[in-house]
Amino acid sequence: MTEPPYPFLVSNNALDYSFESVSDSKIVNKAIAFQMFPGNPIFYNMALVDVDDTGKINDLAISNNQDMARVLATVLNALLTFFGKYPNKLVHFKGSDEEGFRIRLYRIVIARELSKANELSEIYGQLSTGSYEYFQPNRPYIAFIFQLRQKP
Amino acid sequence: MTSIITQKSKKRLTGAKDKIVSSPKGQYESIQAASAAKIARSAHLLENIDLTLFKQNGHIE
Repeated sequence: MTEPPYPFLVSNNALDYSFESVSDSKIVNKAIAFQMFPGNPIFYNMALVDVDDTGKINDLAISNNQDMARVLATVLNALLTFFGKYPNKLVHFKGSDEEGFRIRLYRIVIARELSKANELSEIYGQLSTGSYEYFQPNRPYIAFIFQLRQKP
Repeated sequence: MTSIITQKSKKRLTGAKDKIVSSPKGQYESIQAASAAKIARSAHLLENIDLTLFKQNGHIE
């Protein structure tokens, strides 16, 4: 990653993370949560949300803090910390908005950082229900799946 | 339950170089609830998913 990740707080079970997105104009509290799919325990969902000062969660917020690359570098770091504790699980990541704006943004950032990210994790793009492939730029993915890259 | 992050620890968090500063005792019930809602919306995407490619790339369980 070209941008340095933010430092984060992590829970002992490596499922919950919090960090601050910092710019000259504001500080946005963010959280990342991993949670098992009840019907498919090989998979964990990864959620990235904003947390306001009252502790209220907003997974549709557009914080516009001009640091998306740094936020996603932090997400990747959290992902690797998760895999440190759960190396045999798969992580599913989908944008929150129904319009697909976020997933397109994530796709662009992943494509830009693909070589670095791929050193650490296998990245798959999901095209439709049950259908996925190795991540390729400019494909109309609806979600991403991450798997810890095995050391040779 | 919400963990207390003091101004001092906030400053340390923002300026820290290490990725893990400390282990909070827990503030995450509402975050996990939001995550559960996302899972409910996404679960159908993983129905009948073929695990072959994942298994080729590592052990999963």
